[in-house]
Amino acid sequence: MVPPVRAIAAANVNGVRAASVKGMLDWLAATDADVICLQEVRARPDEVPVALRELLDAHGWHLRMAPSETAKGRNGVAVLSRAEPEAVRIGFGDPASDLDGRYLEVDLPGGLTVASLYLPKGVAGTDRQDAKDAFCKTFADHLRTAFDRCAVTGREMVVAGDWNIAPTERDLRNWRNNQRNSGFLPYEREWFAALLAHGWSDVVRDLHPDTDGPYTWWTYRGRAFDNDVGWRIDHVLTTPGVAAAATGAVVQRAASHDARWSDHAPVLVRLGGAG
Amino acid sequence: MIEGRLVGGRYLLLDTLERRGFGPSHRAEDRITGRTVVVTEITLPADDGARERLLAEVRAAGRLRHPGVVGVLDLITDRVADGGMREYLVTEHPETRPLSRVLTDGDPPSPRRAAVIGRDVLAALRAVHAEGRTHGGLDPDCVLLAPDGRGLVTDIGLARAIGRRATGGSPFTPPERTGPDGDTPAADLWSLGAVLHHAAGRQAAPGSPLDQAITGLTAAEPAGRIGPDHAEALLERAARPRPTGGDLGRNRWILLLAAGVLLVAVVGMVLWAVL
Repeated sequence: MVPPVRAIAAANVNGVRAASVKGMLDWLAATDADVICLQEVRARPDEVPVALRELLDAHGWHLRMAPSETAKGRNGVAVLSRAEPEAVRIGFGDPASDLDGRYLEVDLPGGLTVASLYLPKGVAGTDRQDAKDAFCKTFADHLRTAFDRCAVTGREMVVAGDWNIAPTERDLRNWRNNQRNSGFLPYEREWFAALLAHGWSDVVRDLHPDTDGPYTWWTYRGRAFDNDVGWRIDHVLTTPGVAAAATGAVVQRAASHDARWSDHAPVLVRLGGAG
Repeated sequence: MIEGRLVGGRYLLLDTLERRGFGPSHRAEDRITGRTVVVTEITLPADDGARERLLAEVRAAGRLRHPGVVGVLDLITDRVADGGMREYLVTEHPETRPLSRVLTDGDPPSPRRAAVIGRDVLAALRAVHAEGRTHGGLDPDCVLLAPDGRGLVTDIGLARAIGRRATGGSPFTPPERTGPDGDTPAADLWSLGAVLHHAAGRQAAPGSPLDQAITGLTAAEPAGRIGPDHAEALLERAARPRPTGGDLGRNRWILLLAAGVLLVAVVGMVLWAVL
């Protein structure tokens, strides 16, 4: 079944209040996505800028947010959808992470579940990496269960967001120098590969099998953006029905360093067969 | 140190409790009755009607008598160290731990245990609803776990009374609660579903009674949610002890095989005797 959605986007906005005054509103006004998964929103619902609220109202978006309850002003994910969600779930039933603003799942009409994910960043050899590893362990259980559930119920599912893992050597420019760094650790890549082996599809890679990148994150430091020294860490993983319907994927890289409104660029996946 | 203070000339504060609640909570001794109680310091919002609202909620909650509801005993205004006035809510002190703390400590309940808690909380909420009231702010901090496994509910009406109105985005705030007509029994049941999702959602097997209860309670549209009777039936099923070693359930096939062998032997002996 092809879900009634034309395009799905994922965007780590690096703070919705800052992004709203830098150019995110223009991107939002122009996008033809029907669903957008936002990460690092870093705001509670009552802190969403008025200009963004007005834009969302004017364009008929439904906003569902999961701010961090444990670290105010950090993390935070959201889902924007043209259709009103039928159900909203914050977290994936994991007491250790549900309140951290890292995962939000909405059921949309037509049998599609969309989740916005902000997987923890790690620093190899530190407590932060331990926290990332712990999250990945329980999250993999959830993804396996969710995939199997979709196979039984016939629902389709998309998990889009900032996964903070570059799955292969093609997914970061300086892969040789980063093999001991979080985000490209061998066991992290194996973890991601196991998800694909279970049946999840990395649709951007499926549609761009032979290219380096397309990268989605470039550090603000130095000339990383200008030299395209980036990482592909923002992914759209889908169940087979959505993957089969995917007709195109693009990273909407800013035209110039000055035009960036986040250190990430939005990832957009187009689906064919929908109205 | 607030311990050792006498509040309202009657309640001697003994030590601080681990609940977040609506303000600092203390175990205290009622110097008149000798009972141990809980005294919670509540900071009211600045608006003129705040104390009247709190009084109305406390009076309503004080009339409730249900084994799953923590009884409200008293409301006192007293002076604090800085010279300002504070409200002190006095409630019963059952030997319990808040579910929030149990989860924070990394000890999530099993699905069956969660179902027992859910069933008890649902019964308490139904008692509240039968009085024409709602809880208005159920979350894991308001769910208390007794050593014998019972679940209790506290802080009925407090979120409403002190103006902690939901702005959305809390994992336990139903979609409609941010609106003017969102304070309904159905909204309380949504919160119960969200609490169960948080406590044990990841462990609940797809399609299991607990999974169905969580999904049914947390539909976005109130009209699409299951009612309390349906939820109670599902939670009752989920709360049933599973057959364990020695019961038919676990050894069903072995027992059936043994019965079959026995039957063949008996039939063989009968035939041998007859022929």
